[in-house]
Amino acid sequence: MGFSNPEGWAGPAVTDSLLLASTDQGELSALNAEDFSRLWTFPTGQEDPELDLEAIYTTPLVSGDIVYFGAYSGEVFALNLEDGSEKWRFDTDDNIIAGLEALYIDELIETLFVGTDEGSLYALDAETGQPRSNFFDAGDSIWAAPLLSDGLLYVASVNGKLFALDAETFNPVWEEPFEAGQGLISDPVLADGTILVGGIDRELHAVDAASGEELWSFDAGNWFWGRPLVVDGTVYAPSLDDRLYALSLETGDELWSFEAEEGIRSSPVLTDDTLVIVDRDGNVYGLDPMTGAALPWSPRVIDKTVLSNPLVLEEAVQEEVAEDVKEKVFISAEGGDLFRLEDPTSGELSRLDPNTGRFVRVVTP
Amino acid sequence: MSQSAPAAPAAARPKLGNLLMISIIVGLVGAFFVLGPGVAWNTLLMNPLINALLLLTNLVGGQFGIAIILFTVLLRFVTIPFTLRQLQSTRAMQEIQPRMQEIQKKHKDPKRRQEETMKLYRESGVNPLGCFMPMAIQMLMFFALWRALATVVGGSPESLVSLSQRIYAWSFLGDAIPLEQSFLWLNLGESDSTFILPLMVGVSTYVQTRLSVTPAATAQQHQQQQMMTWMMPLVMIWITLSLPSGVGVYWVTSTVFQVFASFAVYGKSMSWRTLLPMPAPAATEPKKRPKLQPDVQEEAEADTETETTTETTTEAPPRAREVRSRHGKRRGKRKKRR
Repeated sequence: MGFSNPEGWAGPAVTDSLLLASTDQGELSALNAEDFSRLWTFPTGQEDPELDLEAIYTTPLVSGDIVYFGAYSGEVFALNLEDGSEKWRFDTDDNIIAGLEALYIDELIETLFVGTDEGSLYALDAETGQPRSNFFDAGDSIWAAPLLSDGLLYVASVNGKLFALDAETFNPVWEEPFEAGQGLISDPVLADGTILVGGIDRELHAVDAASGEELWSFDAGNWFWGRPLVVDGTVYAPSLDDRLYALSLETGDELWSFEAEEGIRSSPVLTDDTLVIVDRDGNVYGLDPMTGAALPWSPRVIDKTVLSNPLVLEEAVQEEVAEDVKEKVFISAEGGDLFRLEDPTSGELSRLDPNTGRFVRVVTP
Repeated sequence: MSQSAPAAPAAARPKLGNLLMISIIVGLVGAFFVLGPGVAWNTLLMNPLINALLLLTNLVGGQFGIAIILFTVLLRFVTIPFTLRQLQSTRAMQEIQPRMQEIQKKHKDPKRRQEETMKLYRESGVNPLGCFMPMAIQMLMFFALWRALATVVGGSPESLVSLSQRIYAWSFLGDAIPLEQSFLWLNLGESDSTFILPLMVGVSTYVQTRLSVTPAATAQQHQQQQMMTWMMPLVMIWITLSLPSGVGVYWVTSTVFQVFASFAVYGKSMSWRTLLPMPAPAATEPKKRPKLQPDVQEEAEADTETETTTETTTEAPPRAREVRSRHGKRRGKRKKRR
């Protein structure tokens, strides 16, 4: 009927032995990274009172033996990786769509930052889940994951403002927040002192991280909701106008663009020499990052909606003479189905059969 | 009985409304064939409605709830020719009901009964599809708007991604995103857990349904209508409980408008009694009356018709009066023969 329930677009995460993914709506599962058997699922359904997470939009963050994630229902959870038991939870009393950001000390998360649909930004103690006494009010929804760098937290809001805050005190650092014409909804990315953030105004903005001044902006035909990828001075920005744009980080000039069949919300990923993008209809493309030319196998068809960010995973492969490392791309699709691009060069795609724990090759018609 | 003559004035009746309706239907069907159902549906109905909603939201200061109400009223004004036509057709059908009942009673042979019925339609200038076609167009609009509203109010981040594909490349429209979904006690993107809105939907639907039913020709029809009168509100309550409140706001506004339109058309002939459950099956009465004085009954019906016509001279076209006067003559002739 058009009225859609939230389904979630959390991307998968990985540890040495586990693959963490939302394999069903409102559930987080831990799969054995070797045989992909399911080790645990949260919530279990046995909780009292019943726990309904509705959906999960935040890609899980792993620190030590704990996994953190936020649920659309408003809670941030810390679970024990071993058995999925709940360590703590913090209820924001609002919906969580934005991804989590974390402050790492000695490779362990010390503080978690979470933004809510009402525009509150909380800092949570990773050990206890207790919120810091101060919180920040962005004035409107936060749909993009905050970005932490050098003690500064960059927060994009749907009111079109990009804030630079002291991560400790939440005091603004810039004189005025950067203000775009309309809502900023893509996860901000920092590269060479430039913050890249896009939004509903159909523009990708390059903002000076030090001053908050706009360096350049690039117009597209629709919203920028996917997180841009920056590699070697080139910005790869997906847009919901069906295109992936390659722009010069320095000037914002368009180097090339590639037109997919549908809008792109997922972030592009780079594997070896192939740029992999997935459009919202589940068409997977391999592109030459220099020219934007599609590899001959493109597209592979997942035939399910894909809005999550893919994950690149290095996997040791025994070759004839020696062990080699191959990069595989995990793609989480609508309904929690998990796909794997086995070889971005050849485009071999497989789907995880949850019953057998095996990846079954997907044949594109 | 030279009943073929009255058909001429009916044919000569200005058919602007018909032409408009037929053009719309042919245009839509043609577009569905040429563009394909999905593209035509989105391009011709959904996307214009969605963008109009966003535009209105911006124009009323970002108040999406007010935009829905305003949009509904505007839409109902635009489609008012269809609404009036539907109501007038319904009234015309009501007016010929006594004679319909008579035909039902007189002719047992279905073929003959159908012929007589068609003849009656011709004589009275009533098009049986006159009620159906405007209603079909309105239902199409309702369904499109329903879908448009559901898309706009969404209820999930996924729906916003879908919405982005439907918004025209005019930056002003983007100002409406994200929509302010609070309106009165409602969250327009969620169903109303207070049950106030579903109740309003139920009551308004009941009133509208009661005002639009025609008197039943048979006991079976009466029973069906009674069921419809209660079922429609209940179904709408159930639908409202499972849809975003924005759709409920649309429905209440739309039905209230329809009720006012009904008052405008029916005028004095309506009273609060119309809202009460229908009286005993009308089909039973003609069975008794003809046994006593069939002609007296017919005359009484003719009188009632004349009265109604006089009251609504502005609504009923001159042709209707002409037809009725011919009826009068015919009765006169028949009496003479007897």
